[in-house]
Amino acid sequence: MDCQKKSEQMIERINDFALGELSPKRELELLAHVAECEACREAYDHAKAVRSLVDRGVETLVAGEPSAQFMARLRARIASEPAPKSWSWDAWRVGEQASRQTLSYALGALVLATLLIVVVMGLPRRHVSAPDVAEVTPTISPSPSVATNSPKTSAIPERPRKKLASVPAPSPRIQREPEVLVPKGELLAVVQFYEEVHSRPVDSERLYAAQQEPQKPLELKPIEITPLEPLETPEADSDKGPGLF
Amino acid sequence: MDALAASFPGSAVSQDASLEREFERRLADCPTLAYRVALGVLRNPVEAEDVAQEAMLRAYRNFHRLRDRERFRSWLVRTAWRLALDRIRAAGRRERREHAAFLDGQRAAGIENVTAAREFERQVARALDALPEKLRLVMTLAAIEGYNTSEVAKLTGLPEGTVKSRLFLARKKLAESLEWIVKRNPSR
Repeated sequence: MDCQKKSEQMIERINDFALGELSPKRELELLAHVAECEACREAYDHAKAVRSLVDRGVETLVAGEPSAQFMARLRARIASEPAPKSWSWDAWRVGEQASRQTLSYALGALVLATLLIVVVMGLPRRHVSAPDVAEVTPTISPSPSVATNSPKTSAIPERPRKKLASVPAPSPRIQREPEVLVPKGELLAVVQFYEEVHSRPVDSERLYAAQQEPQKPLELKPIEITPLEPLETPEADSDKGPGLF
Repeated sequence: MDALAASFPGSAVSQDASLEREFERRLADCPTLAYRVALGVLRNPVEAEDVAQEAMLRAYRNFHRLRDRERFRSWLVRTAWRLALDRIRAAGRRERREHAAFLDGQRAAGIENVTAAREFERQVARALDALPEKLRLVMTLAAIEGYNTSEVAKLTGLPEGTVKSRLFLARKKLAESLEWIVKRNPSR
């Protein structure tokens, strides 16, 4: 074997052999070559020395015996230990001990899941109703002055246009009476309007014409903000004209 | 086990004589194995004894749960190994850093100054500690009473081929770490 050409391969093989990772066939080849080649024999000796060094070093680290008192101490500690609960080899008993904690967790999870299902299934179902006038009514919040004036002008056409729109038409889907939020002092007017609409055909032209004229003074928006900005109250009042004074 | 059973008569242990005898047989030889495994990690005889005692106590407590009694030694080795690693991790890092700095200083000084065998052991220990845990375990077990690949495979529960390759890698890494000593001191 040409060591010069295959030096790296040979060194690697020598190292593998020295570290115990060479197949018997390769080992024989290597030994035969080492017997003839001085350079490889030196490398081989070196690798063996390294391995011996490594093994001896590690063996030195783990060499030793426990002290003479070791067994006495161990027996004393075992004697002071509470006896094991069971020295039985019953497999089911071992399984029972091992899975006791797991079983308790599983039971807890099952109870929680059952409670959750009961709560979810037991909730009453809410009927989805059409949005009633409650959504519209709050937008029309007449001022106290308007409310006090409304009984005097109790004619139905005097109701604001929005208010007319807020009264729901009877729907065949809704069995119960619609809930109508009526501002204080306007309940009578709304009832009259409702009865008027349902008792006979609505004369829309008359209603519209009646609505247009007297309704304007009622739509004075500054009146809505009067409580919030008292300083503007005189101006708002002055807008109404000198007739008020 | 008779002595052991006599120490606490009437206990649950004395109820099963065959199990007692079996544990007593293991008490005869296994403590040394546990001690050496712990010593391979801790390098301190006193601490290694403590770990070996703890491992044997755990073996006593759980011996009845071990279905395959033939794997008792393997179980004991793993327990002692884990306990020793836990103990060395619990030790102060400062101490280990100081130790490593000391070894670095010795290494820098060269092999001429590392004349004492104890110093060489420290170098080996340092190289062994630097190994990955898998390699370190098989290397340590192989060094205990010269266990061969088959015995190490039984103790670790690994295939023999795996043990062999890990041993090779461990030796290779250790050799790389220690080769500078051999080069400077061929007579060693």
